[in-house]
Amino acid sequence: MRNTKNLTAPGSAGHEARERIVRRKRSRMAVEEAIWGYAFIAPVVLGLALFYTLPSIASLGFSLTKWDGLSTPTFIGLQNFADLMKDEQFLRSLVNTLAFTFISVPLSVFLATLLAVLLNAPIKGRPVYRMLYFIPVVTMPIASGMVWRWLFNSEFGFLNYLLGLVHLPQPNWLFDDTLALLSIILVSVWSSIGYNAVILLAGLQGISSTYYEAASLDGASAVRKFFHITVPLLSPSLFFVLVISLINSLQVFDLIFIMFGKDQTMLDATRTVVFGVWESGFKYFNMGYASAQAWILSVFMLLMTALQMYLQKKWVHYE
Amino acid sequence: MKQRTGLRTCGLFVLIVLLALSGCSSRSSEGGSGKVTLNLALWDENLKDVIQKTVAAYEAKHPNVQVNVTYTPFADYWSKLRTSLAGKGGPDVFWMNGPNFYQYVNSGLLKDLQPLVERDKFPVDQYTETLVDMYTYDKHLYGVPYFQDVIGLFYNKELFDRKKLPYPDETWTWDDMKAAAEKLTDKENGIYGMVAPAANQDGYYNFIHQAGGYMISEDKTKSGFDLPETKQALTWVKQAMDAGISPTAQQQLETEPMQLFGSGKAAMLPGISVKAAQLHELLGDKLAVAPLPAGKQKATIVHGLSWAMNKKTAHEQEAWELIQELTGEAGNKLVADSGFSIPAYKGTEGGWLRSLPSLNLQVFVDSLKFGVPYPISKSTIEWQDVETKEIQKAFMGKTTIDEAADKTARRMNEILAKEREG
Repeated sequence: MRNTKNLTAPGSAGHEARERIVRRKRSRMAVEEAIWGYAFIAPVVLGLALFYTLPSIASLGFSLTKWDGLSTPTFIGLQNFADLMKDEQFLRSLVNTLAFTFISVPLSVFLATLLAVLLNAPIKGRPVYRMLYFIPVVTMPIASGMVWRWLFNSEFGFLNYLLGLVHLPQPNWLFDDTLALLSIILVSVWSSIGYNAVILLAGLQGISSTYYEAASLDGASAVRKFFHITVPLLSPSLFFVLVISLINSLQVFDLIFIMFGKDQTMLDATRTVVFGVWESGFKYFNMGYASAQAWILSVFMLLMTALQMYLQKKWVHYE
Repeated sequence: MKQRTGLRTCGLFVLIVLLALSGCSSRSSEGGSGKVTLNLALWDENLKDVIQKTVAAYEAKHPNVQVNVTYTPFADYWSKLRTSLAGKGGPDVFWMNGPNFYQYVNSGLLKDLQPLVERDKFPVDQYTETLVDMYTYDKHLYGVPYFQDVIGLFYNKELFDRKKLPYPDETWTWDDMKAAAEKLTDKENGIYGMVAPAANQDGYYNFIHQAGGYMISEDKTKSGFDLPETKQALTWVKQAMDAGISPTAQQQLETEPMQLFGSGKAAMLPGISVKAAQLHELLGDKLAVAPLPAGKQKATIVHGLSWAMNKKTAHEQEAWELIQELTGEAGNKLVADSGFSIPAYKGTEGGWLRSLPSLNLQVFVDSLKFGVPYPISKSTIEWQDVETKEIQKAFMGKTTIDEAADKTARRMNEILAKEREG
């Protein structure tokens, strides 16, 4: 804003008139600026409203109906939700999704932090390493899912071939009930670690070296420096990575679909909530039931994110 | 001045957005100058040549009609078809398969072809009965069969020769197959005598009928999975896996049986006729085929696709003539000559039989005599998921065949009951 206030002596008639003009001018400017602002966000807002908000509200409505996507929906109240609470498959998928999330997210973030610290250290060929670790992120989940499926093959897979060389047991990675989820976690961590590491790396580079120099002068050890300088100053990035990973993990679908559900019936051990949404919606065309599942998942995500937002006050330090 | 540009830009933005949105909903209508446009939809691009030739022949006879063909990959085909039909649009003529047929008929999306069949004396008896039955609902035909597939027993001649064993033939029973498989199994070299499929269409659906059981009663009200005959068939499969003469269900989940057989790691594979070309590419002249061995009786699962018409088509007569062109003798001959699959029009299969000269494909055509239809009802896809999951669990040894079959029957009966409620 331009400073036009002290051009005339306060209290004079001329001042008042001018003040009014200035105010009008300013408000006109504000209006113009607002119009520009709205014009620029209009496409996004309209897009979001049309393709996000409205469908979300509609799906909340559909969750209270029985609808096959063709005929007119019939209102059935909370029947879908009541059915879901009794649906063994759904409950199992919820457990699977939560187990997947609570193992893979901490693991991925922990490893990504280590990786970021290493990639931040002055080592030879650093750009090459950074690129290598980022490759899984730019690989399509479809492609990596297919390749991992082969690596995991219990008879002809590379993993079991290696285990066989050193005479270790060769488990059935994908179709053993307990191992299956761990195998997916492994692939998921592998594919998400690069993205998380890059975010954390950027956070690390924002930490001024003076802190470390001061700490060194005081004789702090590397471990101490890590926990008392790196972690607190990295906490905003860590927080971001945690929130995003959590949401992504709760939505896990493509990887599992490619590795298990594409050509064959999904087994209970690897079923996730989003897979259930897809199955009910686009295989059985039971849109109401699918919407209900999607909303339960959304509420879960909302609660978790709210919890994280609340907890952030306790551990995230903003400079 | 500045203000006005601001407003104008703002207006421009809104206009662009509106234009972009309206672009989505504009629907193609009839092309100008009174020309009729028919939309044709299917999923398999391998048939592109055949469809192109048929459409050209049709357009030559109907100069006022233009046919637009759309291929949508199978994975998206059904959701796309469904949403477009629900939006009162959609193709005029499209592919229909068994598992989806009842749902579409029941939702009133398909044109009843019976009046047209009767009016034009359309030769329904020229088509494989099993398929005509499949696409008939309440004695009315809703889809004209196009081509079909049946299950036969593929075998690897080289592996039989190595053990100096006679090849399978039409006299074989389950016991013959098992006995041969035991001799053919070569654990040292990782060769299985047979594949007892964990899958349904290539595997236990056939055996269930051969044992005298069924998957679903004819009136679509009852599951046949708890029948003793059904359990006997399932047990037969499980025993072959347990005996080590067939890869286990787990192995089959991980590595497709076709890949095992195609790389010479299994001597016999019950398989669908459309796989003949692909297997021939892998095994060449080593590949041969015989009818499926018999249980208590002979049986093979027949499935096939048909052409159906959109109930809301604006050009019924043109669409009906297009269906006749596609499924008629000439159209079906083109399908056969392309080597794609067995045409549904009787007597046109010559081209298909010649497509792989080293293979006696006549076996498949002969098998049609004891063909049984692929099991379908309105919610096929739903109960099939329950079924495959339970049966696979049993094959993997996580439950017994008895438990799995009973549970399948129970769940399936629930789904079928819900179906009747509508």
